[in-house]
Amino acid sequence: MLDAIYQSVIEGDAQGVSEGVQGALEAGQDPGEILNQGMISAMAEVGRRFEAQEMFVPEMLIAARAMKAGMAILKPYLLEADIEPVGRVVLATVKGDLHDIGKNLVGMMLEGAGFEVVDLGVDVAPEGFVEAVQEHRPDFVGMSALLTTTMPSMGTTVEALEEAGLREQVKVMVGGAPVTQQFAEEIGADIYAPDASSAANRAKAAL
Amino acid sequence: MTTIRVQCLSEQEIQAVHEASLAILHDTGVRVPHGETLDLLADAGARVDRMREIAYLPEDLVMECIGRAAKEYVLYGRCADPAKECTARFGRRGLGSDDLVLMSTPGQYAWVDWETGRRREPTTQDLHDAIRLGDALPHVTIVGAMAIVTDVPVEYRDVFLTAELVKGTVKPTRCFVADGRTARYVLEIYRTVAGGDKALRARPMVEAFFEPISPLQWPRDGLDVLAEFVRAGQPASFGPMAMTSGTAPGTLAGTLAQENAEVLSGIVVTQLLAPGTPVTYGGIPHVMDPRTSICSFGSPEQALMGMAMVQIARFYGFPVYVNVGITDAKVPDAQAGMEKGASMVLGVLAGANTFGHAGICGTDHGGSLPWLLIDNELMAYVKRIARGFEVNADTLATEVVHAVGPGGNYLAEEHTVRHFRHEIWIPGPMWMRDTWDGWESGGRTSMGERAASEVRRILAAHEPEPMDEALAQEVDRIVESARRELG
Repeated sequence: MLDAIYQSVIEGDAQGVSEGVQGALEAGQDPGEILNQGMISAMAEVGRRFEAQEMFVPEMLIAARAMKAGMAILKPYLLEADIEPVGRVVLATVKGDLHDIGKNLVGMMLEGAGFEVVDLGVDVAPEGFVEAVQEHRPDFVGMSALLTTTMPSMGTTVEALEEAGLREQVKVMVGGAPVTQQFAEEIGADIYAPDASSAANRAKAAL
Repeated sequence: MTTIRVQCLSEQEIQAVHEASLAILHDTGVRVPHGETLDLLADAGARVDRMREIAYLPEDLVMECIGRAAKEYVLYGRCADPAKECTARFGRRGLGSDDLVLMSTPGQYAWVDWETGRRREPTTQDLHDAIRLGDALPHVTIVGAMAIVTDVPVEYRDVFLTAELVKGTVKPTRCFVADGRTARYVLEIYRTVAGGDKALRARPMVEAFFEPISPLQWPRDGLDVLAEFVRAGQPASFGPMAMTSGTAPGTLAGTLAQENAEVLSGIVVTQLLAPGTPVTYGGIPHVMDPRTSICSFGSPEQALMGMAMVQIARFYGFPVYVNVGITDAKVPDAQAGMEKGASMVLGVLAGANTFGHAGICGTDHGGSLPWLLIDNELMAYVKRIARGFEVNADTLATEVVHAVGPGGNYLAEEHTVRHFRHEIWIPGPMWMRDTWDGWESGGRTSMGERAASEVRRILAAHEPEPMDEALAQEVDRIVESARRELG
């Protein structure tokens, strides 16, 4: 049963996943096992295939969406069984920047890896990040930018977290086409990821 | 000599794309986050959803505006001498290679240093070098700023770029203009150089470039700039960079239909703002690489869509700009050659008027002076192909063949001397046709190395015609007031 769910996730078959999860729950399968063996491990395989250039962005996105469909059904059962996400991420594109395709992809891969993602959207000022950290108490703050002109806002956000006394509570992750490892280090970020799949892997590794 | 033409769409297919675009404009609409423009569209008969800021354009409005737009125009540089007209001409492209317009890039946010090969921020020195080279190169028709300089405050930077451009070259010029307030100062400079408002309207010097954000959205600042320019009697061009599978459907035809809708929507607004404004249709779709979601500049699909966009633009009668002759490669290697060459040849032979901007390293990675020189040579190469050759009694040369006879040679024939300069393209110093030994003893140079040497040589040797001192001071005064009021 879990195999069928696993396959449906990889194939991006949202309906197959929903039906599979429903069926598994009715058959008395443990929700945690459905999550881990049916879905998270499927997304890990999707990530592996993406990095091996056997699967590409559109396929990765529909696999993530298929998992999301399954999660919608599974969530109340997970809550009941006290099963927590592996971590929580506050994610946004920084102030002045409206580009979100990459960020959305990162969010989906993080969810695929078992994270709870709070997506603040685009054009988010440092204050917005600070407020979100205070409200949601995440483990990670993820920032995305596509424009060289908006990258500096990442540094300003890190400073704002410091000023609010929140910097130590989170790990800061940055990415986006013009962002580099060097830039990440310059602004005091903890993690830099070049793409959505490695973002999920590096977040997992940093837990 | 017959017109060499390539095409990839049949008449029915062009019609089908056109109808799909009309359906998109009518049913899906475009987002216009600009109250004044929404009013303009509503008054002209568009259905407008003010809450969502979406305008739905009906077919007759679209067709009327296409009809109303002027389809031929000339952009002027500051040539004082009419015998040395420095112009860029847009309109029906006839036989051969006349009126192929190449523009050095109006702006890049980074700079690939031609001496170190490393990337850094652009400076005013880079700007001046770029303008000097643009002025010097024979196939660069419009000189772009190339360097979006970081050593001048952004508040009035585009005004500064414009001033340096008009002072530094006699050719038509362009830089990207950020917003309406900046646009007013930029136009003031062109007005001053032209000799007044009437003169600028009679001999336009600058084009508004409007870039919708795919899918189907217009930038607010872009609309302000467009309005300023067309109300000042300047032409406009539109070029959304829709990306197949990302910001456009995952099919080439779907990308064309959406992109065409986006361009047409821009044309509609332009004609409502200033009826009769001349327009260049910019069909510049790209694909999004499915491995990375990065835009690609050199895909084979780009060459295909470029050809198709030329056909579609010509269907409406517009002069057309397509993004061919560009590459994803970081250095002048075989990939760069293939991507630039294949797409440029197809774009030119499809009948495009203007092409991907010159002097860009890779996928908008930065401005590059060696690349500018390489692009200039590429244009020369492709122009030779587009020019074709004459077949007539003289060129068939049977008399000469008879005179030379079996076993002779043609090197010293008068016929040869009379014809060879026209028949055979002579490459510049960057091109490598040496013997192997010649190449080795010359230092086994690469194209990149030879291009860098040429950059050095031309920068040292070329002096643009200076602007009249008093005029230059007036231009600088405009920059100064922009600095005071915007900075």
